[in-house]
Amino acid sequence: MIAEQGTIPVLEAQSLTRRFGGLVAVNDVSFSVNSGEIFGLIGPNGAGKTTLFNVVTGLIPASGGHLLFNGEALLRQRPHQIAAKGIARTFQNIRLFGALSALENVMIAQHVHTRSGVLKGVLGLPPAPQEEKAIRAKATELLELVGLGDRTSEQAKNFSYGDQRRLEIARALALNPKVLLLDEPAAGMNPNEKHQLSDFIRDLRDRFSLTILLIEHHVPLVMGLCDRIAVLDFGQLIALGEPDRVRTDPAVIAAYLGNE
Amino acid sequence: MDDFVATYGPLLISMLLGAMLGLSLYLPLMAGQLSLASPGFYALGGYIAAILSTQAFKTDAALFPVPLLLVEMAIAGVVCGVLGVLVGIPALRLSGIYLAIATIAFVEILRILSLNLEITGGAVGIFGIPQPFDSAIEYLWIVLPLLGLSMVFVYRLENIRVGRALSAIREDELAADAMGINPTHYKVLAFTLGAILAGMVGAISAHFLNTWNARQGTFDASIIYLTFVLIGGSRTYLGPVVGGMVFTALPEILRAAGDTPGLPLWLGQLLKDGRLIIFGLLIVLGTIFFPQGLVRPGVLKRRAKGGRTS
Amino acid sequence: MKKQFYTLSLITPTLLILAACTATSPTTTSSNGAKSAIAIGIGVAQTSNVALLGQEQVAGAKLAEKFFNDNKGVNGTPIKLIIQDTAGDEAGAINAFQTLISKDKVVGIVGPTLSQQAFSADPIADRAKVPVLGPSNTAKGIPDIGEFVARVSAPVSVVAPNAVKAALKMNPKIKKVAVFYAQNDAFSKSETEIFQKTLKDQKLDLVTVQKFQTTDTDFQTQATSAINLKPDLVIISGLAADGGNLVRQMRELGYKGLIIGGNGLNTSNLFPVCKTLCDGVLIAQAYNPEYVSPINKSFRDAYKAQYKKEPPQFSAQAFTGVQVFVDALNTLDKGGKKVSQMPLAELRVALNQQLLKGKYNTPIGEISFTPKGEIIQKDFYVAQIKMDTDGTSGKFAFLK
Repeated sequence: MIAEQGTIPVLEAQSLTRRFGGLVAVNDVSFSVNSGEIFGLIGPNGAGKTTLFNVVTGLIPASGGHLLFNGEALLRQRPHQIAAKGIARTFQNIRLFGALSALENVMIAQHVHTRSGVLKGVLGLPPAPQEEKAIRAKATELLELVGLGDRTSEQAKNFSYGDQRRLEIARALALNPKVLLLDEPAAGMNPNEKHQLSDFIRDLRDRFSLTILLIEHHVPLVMGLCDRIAVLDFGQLIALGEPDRVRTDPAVIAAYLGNE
Repeated sequence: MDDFVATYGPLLISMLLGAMLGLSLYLPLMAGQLSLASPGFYALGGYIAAILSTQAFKTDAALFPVPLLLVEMAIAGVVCGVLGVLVGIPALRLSGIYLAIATIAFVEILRILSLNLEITGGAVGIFGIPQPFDSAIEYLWIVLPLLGLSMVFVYRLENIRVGRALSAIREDELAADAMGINPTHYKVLAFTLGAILAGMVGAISAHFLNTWNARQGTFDASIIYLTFVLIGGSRTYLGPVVGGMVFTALPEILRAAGDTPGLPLWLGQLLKDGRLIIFGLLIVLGTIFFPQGLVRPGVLKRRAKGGRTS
Repeated sequence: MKKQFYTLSLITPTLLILAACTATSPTTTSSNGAKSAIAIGIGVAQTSNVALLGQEQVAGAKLAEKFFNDNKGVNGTPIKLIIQDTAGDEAGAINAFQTLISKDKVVGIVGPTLSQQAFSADPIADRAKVPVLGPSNTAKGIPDIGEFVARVSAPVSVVAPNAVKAALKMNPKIKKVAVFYAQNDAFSKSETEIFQKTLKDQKLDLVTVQKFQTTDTDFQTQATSAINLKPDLVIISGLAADGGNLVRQMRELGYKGLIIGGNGLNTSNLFPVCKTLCDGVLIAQAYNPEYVSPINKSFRDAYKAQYKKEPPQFSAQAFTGVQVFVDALNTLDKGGKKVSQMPLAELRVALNQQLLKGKYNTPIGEISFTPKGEIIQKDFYVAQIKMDTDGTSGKFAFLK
C-alpha cells in the first residue's frame, strides 16, 4: 500500500482478519513491510498486536484476508512450515525450553537447517556428526553475540528475565530468519538496558540483513528505533507511517497516546 | 550358585524385560506424550511370536532356533511400528489425559479382539510355545543385548537432533512448532519407536512365558509400566530402566519378606497379601515427593561429579 | 556415563540378593518337620483376584499333609508341604514353580490354580523333569503339555454335560435353551463350547448365545433379549459375582425355568450375590461331600471341624493331588528302593512313572490316569442350590 519507491515488500498483509467469537481481534488490517525495515507495531493493551503476530507465524489461523511472504501465500501453513521459510519470533511471555540448557535451546532452533534422522543420528553416521559440530559452533557464537557466551550449559529456566529475553533472541536468530518478529523485547528492562537494546536491534538488522517487526509498549524506544510504525486500536489499523507522522496523528493521540 | 541362578533366573529376565517396557513408555514421554499404549503393542508382539512359532516356523529340533526368534522379533517390531504410525497419527492429536485415555482404549480394543479371534485362541490363548533355550537364564543372550542396545539407542537419541526436537516438544510444543519443528511428525515418531520396542519385548515374552493370552498387556499392565517410569524417573532413560527392574522385583521381594521368621503375623500378611497396597502407596508418595522420579538427571550428574573429585 | 552404568550394574544383583536373603523360609506347616521329610510343592494363588480359589486349595492340601503324616507318611517318613504363592499371573506361576524346583527341591508340585498359568509354568516343571498335578486346571490340552504333567481335575468336557442331563431328568419337556458366557474368561469360554455341544448332542434347541464380561454388573440387555425368546433352560458360564448377578436379574425379570451354572458359579461366594434367587440353580460337580468312603469321611470331618462348613471341590481336589503323590511314593518305597535314599532327580522321574500307573481311592472317588496324565474319574454329581428363606446362607444339595 504505502510501499516506497524501489523497495520490495517482504511481508504483505491484505485485509487480514481474526475473530474470536464475536470479538474481532484483528479487523481488516492491511500493511506491507519492506526488506531491511524495522517496523513497529504499537497500540493499547488488547489492541490485537500479539494476535497479529500469532496469525503471521501460523499459531492462530486467520479468519479472512491474505498474507504474503515474498509474494507467497502464508495463510493455512503450519507454524513450523512458516518458520522454515524464514520467519522467526520471540514471545511476549517468554517461551523457552526451560529444562534444557541455553546451548540446547539455540541448537534446537537450527532444526530446519539440518537433516540427519534417527538412524544416522544414533549411529553417528554422516552428516550427523558434522551437522552436530556446525550447529553447536553456531549456537555458541549466537550466545556470545547476545552476551550469554559464558552460560551455555545453564538451564534456561534459571536465567533472569532479561537474559531469558536475550536467549529467546539468540534462539530466533538460529533459524537464519529473513524476518524477525520481536514481541515486547524491552519488557522488564531498565532505561539503560532499553537504550542498549535499540542499538542491539539495529545492529542485528545490519549484521543478518533482517527485516524486523517489533511490538513495543515503550513509546520513546519505538519512535527512536523504527523506520515505520503501525498503530492498532481495537483490532483496527488507525495509523501507519514514519514515527514523526504517527506521533502527530490526531487519531493516535486520541486512541493510544491519550490512554497511556 | 547353580540353584540360585535357576531359582532367580526367571525373575532376572522379567526384570530386564520390565526395564525395556519402561523404556517403551519413556520414548513417547520424551516428547511429553503420556501414552499407555505399550501393553497393547507388547500383547500384539507376543501374539505374533506365538502364532509364528506354533504355526509357521515348525521345527523338529528340540530347541526353537534362535535366528527364528530374531526373525519373529523383527516382524513384531515392523508390524507394531506400522500400527504405531496408523494409531499415532490420529491419537496424537490429543494430548495429556485425553491421549492417555485414547491409548487405554486402544489397549482394550486389542484385548477384546484377541479374546474373540480364532487365531489368538480366544480366552485360553496360545500355548505350547517352543523354547529357544534350555533354561530361563539363557534368555539373557537375547534380553541383555536388546536392553543394552535400547539403552544406548535412547541415550544417543537424547543427545542428537531428533532427541532435542522431542525435548523441545515436551518443554513447549507451541514454541517448538514456531522454531520449525513439526510436532506431529516427532510425536508420532517417538510413539512408534516405543511401539516397536514393546512389540519386540512381547515377542520374547511369549517364548519366555511358554503361553500367550489376553491377560497379557492389559490396563493393569499400563499402570504398572507407568509406575516404572513415573517412580523410576521420567527425565533420563535410566529412570525407566531402574524403575522397570525394581518394580518387577518388588512384589517378589515383598512376598519373600513376608515370610521372614519372627515377623508379627499381621506384618507378614501385609507384605504378602498387601503388596499391591504397598505398591500403590509408593506410587502416591513417590509422585508427591519425587515428581520427576527417583532417578533424575541432576542426581546422577552430582554423583558423577562427586565421584570424580573424590 | 560410566558411573551411571556402574550404578545400574549394582542394582540388579542387589535386588536379587535381597530377594534371596528374605526368602529364607518358605511357608511350611509341618508339625513334625523332621529334616528327612519329603518335600511336596504347592504352587497356587494365595494372593491376587484368584486368591479365594487358591486359599481353598491350600486348605485342602494342608489337611492332606496332616492326615497322611498322622498315617505314617511315606512308610514312616513324614511329608512336608512347601507352599509358594503364584499370584494370579503367568510370570508369578513361573517364579513360584522355579523356586519350588530349584530352591525347595520338591519331589512334585500340586498347582497352579488357573489353566493359563498351567500353560506357562507346567513346561518349566516338565523340562526340569518334575511331576506336576493340576488341582483345578480344566482347560483342554493340559496333560498334553508334557509327560510330567497330569491333573486330578476332570476337564470341562467330562463334567459339564452331567448338569444338562440332570436338568432333562427334572423336566423332560425342555426344548429351548439360552446360553450365557463371560467372554473374557478362558474357563467360561471353553465351558460354554462344551455346553453348546451337549445341547446339540441332546437335540435341544439353542435359541440364543449371550456374551458378557466378568466385570459386568448390569445384564438387563442380555437377560431381556434371552427371556423374549421364552427359553425352558438357561445355562450360565461365568464367575461368582457376574454369574450371581445374572441369575438375580434373570429371576427379577420374570424367568421361571431351570438355570444351570458353570463351574465358576460352583462356590458359596455366589450366595451373597443372588441371595434367595440363587435357589434352584443346578451345578455339575466333580466332588460330592456326601460321597461315602473312608478317606472322604476323614477329609470331610477334618475340614468341617476346622472350617465349620462342607468342603468345597477345590479343597477336595488339592487334597487328592497331595494324596496321589503320597500314595505313589508309598508304592515306590514298598517296591524296593527307599525313596528317602534315592537321588532327587531319579526320584522325581520314578514318582512320575509310578503315579500314572496307580489307582487311587480319594475324596473325589476312585481315580486313575491315562498314560498322558488325563484323569479318569468314575463318578460325577449334580448339586442344586438350596437357599434359606432369609437368603443369607444356602447349600449345595446333591441330586440322587
